Parts: sequence; structure tokens; C-alpha cells
Amino acid sequence: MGSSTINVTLKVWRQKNAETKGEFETYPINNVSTDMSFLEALDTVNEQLLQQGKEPIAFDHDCREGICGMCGAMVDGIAHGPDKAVTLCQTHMRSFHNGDTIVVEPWRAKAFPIIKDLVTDRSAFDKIIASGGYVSVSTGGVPDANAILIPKKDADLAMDAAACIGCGACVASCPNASAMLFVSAKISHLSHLPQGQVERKERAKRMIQTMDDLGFGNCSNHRECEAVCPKEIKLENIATMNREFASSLF
Amino acid sequence: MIDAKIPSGPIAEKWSTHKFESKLVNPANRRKFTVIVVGTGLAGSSASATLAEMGYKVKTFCFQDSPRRAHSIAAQGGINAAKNYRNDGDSVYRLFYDTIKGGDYRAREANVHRLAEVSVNIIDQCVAQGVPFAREYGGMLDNRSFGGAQVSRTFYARGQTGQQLLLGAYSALERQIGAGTIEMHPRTEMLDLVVVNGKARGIITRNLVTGKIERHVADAVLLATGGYGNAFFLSTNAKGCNVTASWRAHKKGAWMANPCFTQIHPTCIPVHGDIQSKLTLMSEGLRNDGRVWVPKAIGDKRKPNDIPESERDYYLERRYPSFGNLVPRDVASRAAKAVCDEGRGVGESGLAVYLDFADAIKRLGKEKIAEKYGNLFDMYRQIAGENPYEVPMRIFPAVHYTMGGLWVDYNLMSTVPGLFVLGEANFSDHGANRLGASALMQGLADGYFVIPYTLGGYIGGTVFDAVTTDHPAFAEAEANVRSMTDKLLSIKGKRTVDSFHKELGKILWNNCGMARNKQGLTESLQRIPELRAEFWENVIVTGSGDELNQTLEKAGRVADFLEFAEVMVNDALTREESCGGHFREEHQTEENEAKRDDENFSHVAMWEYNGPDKKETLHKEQLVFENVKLTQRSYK
Amino acid sequence: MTILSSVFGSSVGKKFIVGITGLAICLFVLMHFLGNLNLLIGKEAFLDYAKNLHALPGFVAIELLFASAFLVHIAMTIKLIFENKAARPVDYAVKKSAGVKTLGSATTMITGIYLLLFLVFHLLNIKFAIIPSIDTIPTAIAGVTPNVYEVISYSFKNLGLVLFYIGGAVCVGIHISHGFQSSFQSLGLNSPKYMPLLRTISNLFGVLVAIGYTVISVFMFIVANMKGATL
Repeated sequence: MGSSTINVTLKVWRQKNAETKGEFETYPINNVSTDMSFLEALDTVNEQLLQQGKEPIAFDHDCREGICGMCGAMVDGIAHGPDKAVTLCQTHMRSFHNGDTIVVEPWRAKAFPIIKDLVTDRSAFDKIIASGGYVSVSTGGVPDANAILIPKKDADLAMDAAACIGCGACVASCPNASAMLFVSAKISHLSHLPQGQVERKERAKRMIQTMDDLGFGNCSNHRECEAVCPKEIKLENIATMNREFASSLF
Repeated sequence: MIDAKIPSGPIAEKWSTHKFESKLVNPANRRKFTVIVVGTGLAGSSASATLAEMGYKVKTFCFQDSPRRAHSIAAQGGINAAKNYRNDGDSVYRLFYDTIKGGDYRAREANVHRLAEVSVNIIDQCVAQGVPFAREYGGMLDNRSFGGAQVSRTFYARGQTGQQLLLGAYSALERQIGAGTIEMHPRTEMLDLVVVNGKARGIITRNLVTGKIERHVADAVLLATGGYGNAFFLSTNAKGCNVTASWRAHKKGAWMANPCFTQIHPTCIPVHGDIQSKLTLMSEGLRNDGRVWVPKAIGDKRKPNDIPESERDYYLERRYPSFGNLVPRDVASRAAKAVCDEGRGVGESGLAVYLDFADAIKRLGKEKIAEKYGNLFDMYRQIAGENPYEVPMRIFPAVHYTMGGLWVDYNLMSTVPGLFVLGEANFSDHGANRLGASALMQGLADGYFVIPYTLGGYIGGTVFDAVTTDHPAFAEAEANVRSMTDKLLSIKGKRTVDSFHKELGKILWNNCGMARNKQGLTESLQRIPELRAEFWENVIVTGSGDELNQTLEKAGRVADFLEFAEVMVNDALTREESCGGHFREEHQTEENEAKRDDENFSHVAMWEYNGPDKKETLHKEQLVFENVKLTQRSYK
Repeated sequence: MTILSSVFGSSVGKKFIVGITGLAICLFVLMHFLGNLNLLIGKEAFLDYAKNLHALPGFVAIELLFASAFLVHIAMTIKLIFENKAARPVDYAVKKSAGVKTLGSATTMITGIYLLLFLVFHLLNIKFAIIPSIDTIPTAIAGVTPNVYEVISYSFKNLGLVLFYIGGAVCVGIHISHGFQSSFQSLGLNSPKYMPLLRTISNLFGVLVAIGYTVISVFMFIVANMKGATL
């Protein structure tokens, strides 16, 4: 099994709410099984804090199997921690060493205000989708599924982009807090499919406009977003979005 | 006697007849009616979007930070639909038949037939939304066979079908939010149902960020709040999944149906320690190529690759020569439990069996296996820290889905008029065992294609009193919610919420899990109220009610599980038969298989709440099978 | 007009502008470099080249076009820097690159600022011949306006100034190594197939410019200090 135990120290950002100033608190945890997930290590700290009558660390999480997109924090300066292509809930303690001090911070971006501790408000992403991240079909009266033929290659490219879980790691890791990888993934998903053609210009225009209005930064092609994305969404999507934007100008 | 409102006529015509006979609401009038939808999984999102598109005023609630997070997102395998695109003999009737049989004859025929009928529309709808289903080179949709089905009727989007379907429904929901027809309340938890003059007219919620308790009035309330699998603490459900909305509606008059029907999925990554928070499912597609085994000898602690072939017991192949490793979920799960009970389980805990791909790799090559299961193998390696290409996977069953839930009639309406229940939260379509790839189908069927008609029928046929949030029923419900919150915060005890939850989970897992018996269930019925009493005296809830307080949220949910569990165990005790996922050790064939008692238990067990710490009253809805002949399932 | 306002009012549009002006500047840098290679040949060759260049039809228009590319590129990137800072008002205590950071991408702002200072100085130094004062150049003393070669030779006697120039050469190389390929991505002219090739070209371009200008600077330093004969 290769499981063993290590002792680590967590240095976690604590902030009571959006209005107050936060600070780091240090929590040593001993005998952490290397089979434990990172969030389970946080659970352990929280159980200890509760026993001492102290407030546990607030952090978002839900499915704990890497698909819902709810969890996420900067771990030692990297979004979702050191492992490639996984969310924080799938990061395991075996990626750390005995004696490590691990710094845990919330996503930081103007468009993702901190609610408490490691919990941030990512509703900006929902607003972007609401401004155009859909095909305008209502329920009923649609053609038979096989009436729309889609080349396998296009379906695969659409699926690659559609795999985005909306966790916000791209924004968190971008030196400019830009949301372009997220926005481009949706634009690219729909622009690869025949269903998405009718509204493609309007969609690109509106989603980009909304993204800008929400206070995200600009892309300067650092590629940090691609490197931390738990679903390995590719930077090419941003290029696709840029093309969609260009065509929407005319 | 309860009326399930099943339309008369031949099974294939019931739904069309019913749609025609249901009252309609004039399009111009719809905006005068407000509908509350709680939950944004497949059922809740699709219902919200569809009703808003039709013109109703919709208020939608979810406890997550975004409607896109709901746990429907985690479904891997696919979604069934009777499209018969493969020309392999599928039909609406066959899907209906398979679902009734798979549910071990404990589901309502009319509902299941309707589900099979609308399954074909779901795929069309999702494709139109831009859901990227897998395609063949000719551009047509691809299908696969799933869960031992004899036809290929499962549509899929890589291993992320649930995610893609949910994102489709979510995009439709967001479109309506953008259009201003849906008022969305994320990070908001429903804490009570408000019933006025016998009708569901609103809910009380807590804003999870500010702690504000709010009243919301409506003409109908839809619960799409998922299952109660987290009663077991460890399950494949998301951490936030809970029974609170259903349970609080139950306390306001909605009867709970078949709560003992829980699906335990055979292929999950086993538990590794006491701090484990969650179990992860590995798609059951793995059993197509993996061979399940344990050592023949009790307590054999050698490494798997050191155990020679002659000392391995491929127990599924041995016990079920014709189906082998592909027996249904309930059978595979029980068999794994049996070998572990004998002391032949593997891994540190002894609670695991091997799922071995060595033969498949030898036969097909590592490349082919990687192509088929690569992402699952990666996921296993990430979680278990072992390379499944080299050592067998360790797997163990885990709680996965709950077939039971709030009772609903054919219109998906509960015993409280105006309260509708959709998706996993209701009990209606899967009987005692759900087939693979059918949960997604049911959630979307309910939301896109059933509720728009049946809700219209209710609203069109009902005279509504003018009710505002100033009604005393709202004040009373709000006071209840406040007093519960205050009480939880005032206890300041010594035991954490999780520790209570874990203990409850162990009680249920050991006594109301894969195998149940009278003694264990009776003991549980004694132990659960004790644990509940201790909870209310000794739980620690820090912080205040006026802020984001995740401990408080959890405490409220666990308090409800502690009450709900008693009904669940009681239901299991009362159902003196084995069927599907409900296996009573007293009721088994000579070959240790589930033995149904159709004469006495071909009914839906419905439980009515009678007040705190009072025994619930059992009601029965007799199941009438006009089309399907009841037989004993056999997989020998 | 609506197109312009859409472009200037949008984050993606601003990327276009930075990308297009960046590519224009790359073209300028390349041509300027090729022209300056004449310095390695000698005074006559360089002065001929300068004369021919200025005699080109529409030279002033082209010069203005490049000048505006510079101005827009600089103005826009400064605006973006402020916008990007505003997008993350509170910085991380610990921030690491997830492993894809390149020298170019990590330092665009620093090299950019250096290049801005360099550009201003370079124009004042060579184009307008104001700094350092050229009054001590023998031709100037004789009452004749020194030619550009004389200005260069005179300036490049100074080791500090040469080092500043070498700094500029290195910075422009590094800046281009990120900027050139980045422009293609910004303009949506990107495909996974040729992106690695583009990155290689971009890096080679950067190295060529950095080394090339350094060589010219060093060469001119040596020539200027060997003998005063040419002056």
C-alpha cells in the first residue's frame, strides 16, 4: 500500500468576512496518513479546532471526486496544489513531505471576493454564462438527435472544452486574474458544434463584455491557467475565442 | 386509501391521455403564478428552465455556490434512452420492462412506462442544447451497453455524462436567469415548508452567507433535492447532499416512501482510515474486463501478485457461472460483503476485494486497456496511490443512490397538495434497485417533460387563496427554524457533528446496509434515538447564526439524518422480504439470493409523521402489475 | 467607429491592439537591426544606408506609422498593467509558477519598462543627438552638424552607455521571445500544430536580436575607442 504518516504544518488564511482583515494562522498536524486527501487534512484540523471550541476553517467543497468544481485554494502558491490536472479534493497528502509547512490561501481576484477564510464568491462565472453561454432552445419541439450530424472530431473538440468545471483556478493562477480560459472554454465548446452557430457572434460579444464588466484582468499569455487547470482545458480555446471576437466585429 | 392518480387505459396510452385531460394554464396567465424550485441538479435545473420558458415566475434555490455544482454532475456512465438507434431490438416497452424487472417489481408500472416514453425526447433536447455526446465517425450518436443490459441504449459524453447533461440544463437555467424569468438564490438552504390551508405555499430559507432567515411565498413548491445516501456518512454522494428539505417537508405532511431502498454500488475505492470523508465510485464498466477475487485462505496477508492462481477464489465466476463478474449491482455487492465477513477481505482493513486486470492486459494489451479505462485507472492511482496496471485494484461496495424518497402520485405530487417532488428525491421509478444510467434519465424526464404538464394540471385546476409572507403559517415556520438554529448554537457540547454523523453511519451501514436482519434493525431502533438524544445535549456548534457557518449547516442536516434514520430502519424491519437492494437475511433462497414475498409486500410502504419522537404510521399503496409478470431474478 | 470602440472597449480587443502593434514593432526591430549591420562594415556603408533609407518615398509616413505603433503599444500596455493590478487588489503571500513560466513571460513588464526608458534615451541620443551633448565632437566645433555615424562613434566611447545599450539589446530579445509568439495567440492565429514551432521561432528571434545588437554595441565600443581618426 505504501501508506505512511507524516507531520506537517498548515499555514492557513483566516478571515472572518469580506469586511475584516485576515491573517495567517498556523496549525501543526501530526500523524497524517499519506492516503488522506488534502481536504481530509483540513477536516482533521477542523475537528481539532472544534474540540477546542474554536471556529473551524471555512472552505468550499462538495463532490470530493474532482468534478463539481466547488473546492479550490492556493497551496504553496499553486492553484489546487502541486499535482497536475487534479482538483484540491483529489490532491493527496502523499504529495507532501514530513516536516513541510504548507501555505493555504483563498483564490484572490477582485471578481472573486472573499466570503470567509478560503471561501470566495465565484458567482461572476454564473453571470458570464447567463449572458450568453447557452444555445437558445426551449424545451420541446427540437429535431431528432441524429438529425444533426456532427463530425467526431468536432464533437471531441467540443467535449474537450466543455469539460471545464468552473472552479476558478484559471483566474486564481493568472498573474492578471483573467477569466479568459473559462470564458473561452464555453465559447469554444459551442462554436465547435452546429447547434452553436446561429448565435456565435452575439455570444462571443456578450460573454466577453460581461467578463470585462465584472472586473477580471486581461490575458497576457502567461499560460499559468492552462498549467493548473484540473481538466486540462487548452490555451487554444482562448485563441478560438479571440477569433470569434474578431468575426463578431464585422 | 391513497390515490396515486394513475390514469386508466392501456399502459402505452396512459400518459398521452393524461396530458390531454390535464387542465392547462393560459400562457398569459402563467406569469401570475410563482413556482419555487429547490435544488438545481438535473431535475431542478431542467424544471426551473422549462417552467420559466413557459412563462411561470420561478424562484430557484440551491445550497451550493452555483447551480452547476449539484451532484448530478458526478454521474459517469451515461443516460439510457429507448431510441433503438442500434437496431438491436430496443423499444419503449423493453426499457419499461427492464426497469420494472431491474427494480425487482417494486415500482409503479405507469410511472416507469412514462419514463421510458419520454426518454427519447431527452436525448433530442440535450443535443439541441449542445451537449457533446460521443459521436461515431459518420457523425451519428454513439451508444454503449451498460450495467448488463442486453441492448446498447446508453448515450454518453466520455466519462462525464452527468456533468455534460447538468451543464446543458444549467445553461438553460442561466439563460432564463439572464432573461429575468428566474430569480436564483445560490448558497441558500431550504429549512422548512410552509403549508397554508392544506396546500404548500412557500418555504423558509437561510441565506448561508449572511445567515438571514427568509420567507418565500409561491403557488407551488418543487423539491428536487436528491437522495439521502449521506445518512450513512460514507457514500459516493457529495458532502453536501442531505435529507433536510425532504425531511422537513415530511414533517409538514409529505409521506416518505420505501426509505429502506438504498443502492449499494459494488465498485468503489475502499475506505482507508477513520478520517475518510467520502467514497469514490469507479464506473461499473470496469467489471466488463476486470476479474473479482479474494484469497481462498482466511487472513492471507500476502501481496496479491504473490498469491498463486490456485489459491485465489474468483467467487463471482464460481457462484454465478453464466453472468460471472457482470451480475447486477446488488448481487455483486452482497457477494463482496460475504467474502469479507468470512475474513477473506484484502487490504489493511480487510474490507476490500481485488478487481484484477492482469488477464485483460495479457489478452488485449496494456494500450487497449488504457484506451478503455485510462481515466478511471488514473483516478484510482491518484486516490489509492497504487498502479492498477501492475497490482489489482482494491474495491468495496459503497452507498450510492436511494430509490426511496418522498411519496408522489402519477403527477409527481406528494401527499401535500402543491408540493411536487422530482428526481432522486421522490421514490417513484426505480423500485427496489436502480439500473445503471437510469438516474440521469429520470431526473431530466421529471424536469423537462413531466412536471410542465402535471404542474399545469394542478395550477389550472386549483383555486388559490391570496397568501403573502405575512400569513401566520410563515411566521410559525420561521419561528421553528429560528428556534432550531438557536438551540443548536446554545448546546456548546463536547462532541463534533461529524463524530455523531460517523456513528450514525456505522449503525446504518452495519445494520441497514447490504444485509439486514431483525436483530440488527431492532438494536438500531434503540440505538438511534439514544444517539439523537446525545446529539441534542452534547454537540459542538461554534460561531453564530449570522454568518457563513458550515458547522451549523452540517449540524442541522445531521439532526435530520438522526430522525430520518429511524424511519429508514423501521421500514427495513417492517418489510419482511428481500427485494433488490433490500436484503433481509431471514428471507433468502437456499442459494443465498434475495427472496421476494409478492403476496404480502407488493406495495409501496409510506410513512406518515406524527410528531417528535412518535412512531410513524405506515400506509400502503398496492402495486398493480397489469403488464409485467413477476418472476424470480436468477443470474446463475 | 463602432468597430473601434468595440475593440478599444474590450479586453480581447485590447489584446488585438497590443498584438498588432507588437508585431509591427517586431518588424521595425528586425529592419532596424539589419540596417545597423552596416555599422560592422564601416562608416561609408552605414552612411550610404542611412541616406538611401531617408530617401525612400513615404519615409516620413512609415516612420510616423512605426512611431504610432510604439506609442499605442506603450500606452495600451500601461493601461493594461493598471487594469490587471486592479483585478487582483490583494496579492498572494506565496505565488509560484505552475511550471510554464518562461523568462520572457515572467519579465515582460520589467523588460518593457527598461525598453521604454531605453527608447526615450536612444531617440535623444542618436535620432535627436541631444544627449550627451555633441558640442565637443570635432565637426561640431568646426561648425558643421555631425553625421549620424559620428554621433554613434562619439556616444559609444562611453562604457556606461554601451552597457546600457547592451542591456537594451538583452531586454528587447527577451521581450520579443514572449511577445512575438504571444501576438499570434492574441490575434487568434494559433493552432496546436504550429504553436511549438512558433515558440521556437520566437525564441530564436529574441536570441538573434539580443546577440546581434550586443555584437554591434561591443564592436562600436571597440572601434570608437581604437583611434579618434574617424572623428
